[in-house]
Amino acid sequence: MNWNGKDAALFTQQKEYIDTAVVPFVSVDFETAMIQSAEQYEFIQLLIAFLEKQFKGRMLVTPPHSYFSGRDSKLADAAEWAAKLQKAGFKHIFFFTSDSFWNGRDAEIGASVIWVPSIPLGAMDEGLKYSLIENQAKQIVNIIVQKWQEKAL
Amino acid sequence: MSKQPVSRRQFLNYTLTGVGGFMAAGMLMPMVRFAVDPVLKGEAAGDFHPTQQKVSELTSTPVRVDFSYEQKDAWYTSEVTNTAWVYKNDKGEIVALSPVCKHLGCTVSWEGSGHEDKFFCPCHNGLYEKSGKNVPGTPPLKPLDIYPTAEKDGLLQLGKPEANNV
Ligand code: FES
Repeated sequence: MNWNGKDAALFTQQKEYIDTAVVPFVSVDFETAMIQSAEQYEFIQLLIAFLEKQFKGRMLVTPPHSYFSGRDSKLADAAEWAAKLQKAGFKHIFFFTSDSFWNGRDAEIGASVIWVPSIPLGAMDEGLKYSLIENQAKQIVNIIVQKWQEKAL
Repeated sequence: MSKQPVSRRQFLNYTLTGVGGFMAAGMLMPMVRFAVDPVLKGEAAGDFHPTQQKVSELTSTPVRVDFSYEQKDAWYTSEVTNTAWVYKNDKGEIVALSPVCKHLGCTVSWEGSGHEDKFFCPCHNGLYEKSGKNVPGTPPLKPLDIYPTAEKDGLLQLGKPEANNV
C-alpha cells in the first residue's frame, strides 16, 4: 500500500492483513553531501517502489522520514516512529536507509533496519537502472519473507 | 499610463485580428480533431504492448514476461513496468495471466515457496491453479486476471488485463 487516499482507505478496512510498515529514512544535506543525499533518496525510493509492488497487500509504505545528519535527536525521532507504528498495530516495522548511521541500531530504536548501500544511479540508462535495483530488491524480498516466517501471521 | 495612446484605427485592427483569429481557430479545431481522432482511437483500441518474448519459445510451463511502456495521465508521464505469467495450455493456446493477487494485490509467483503446479502469493498464502482459478479456502476470492494476447513478428504482445472466467 502506498501513502495515498485510496490505499489508506483500503488499509483501514483490511487492517488485519496489513501488518508490515516500511519507512524510508533519508538524510538531507544542502552542502557538500547534497548529491550523495539526493542519490540515496532516489535509490531508496526506487527500491521501495519495487518492494511495494511485490508486497502491496501486506505492507504499507509511509512518507519518508527525512532529517539533517547533524541532528541531535535522531535516535529519539526514530524510536518515536517505531513506537507510533507499533501502537498502530504493525507487527513488522522496517526502516530502509542508505545512511550507515543506522546500521546495527535495530534494538536501540525498536525496528528492523534494512541498510542498503546506494548505487549512484546518476545518468544511468533506465533499463540498466531497473535491473540493478531489481537485483538488490530480490535479496531484500527474501529478508522480508524470512521475518514474516519468524513471527507467523 | 502609456505614453502612446492607441489610435482608433490601431484599436480596431487589433480587436478584429483577435476576433478573427478566434473564429478561424473555432472553425479549424473540429477539422483537426476529425483528422487526428482516428489515430487517437486506433491507439486506444489496439492498446497492445510489445514484449521481448518469442511466441515460438513458449511451453506449457509458465514463464515470467516483463514489459514496460510509457503511460500518460494528464501532465504526468510514468514508465510502467508490468509482468505476466505466460504459457501454452493443452490446446496450444497462449495463456497470459496477471501476477496481481486478487486478494490485496501482492505479486504471485509460479510454484513459489514450493507449491507445486500452483501460483502462490507470499502475503497471506493465497493459491491459484495453473488456469488462474483461485483455490477455495485461501484468501483470494477471484481468479487471476487474464491478458488479451497478440503476436507481431513472432513476438508476444499483451493488452489490458480482464476478468478471467475460468
Ligand atoms: S494479497 Fe495475495 S493472499 Fe493476500
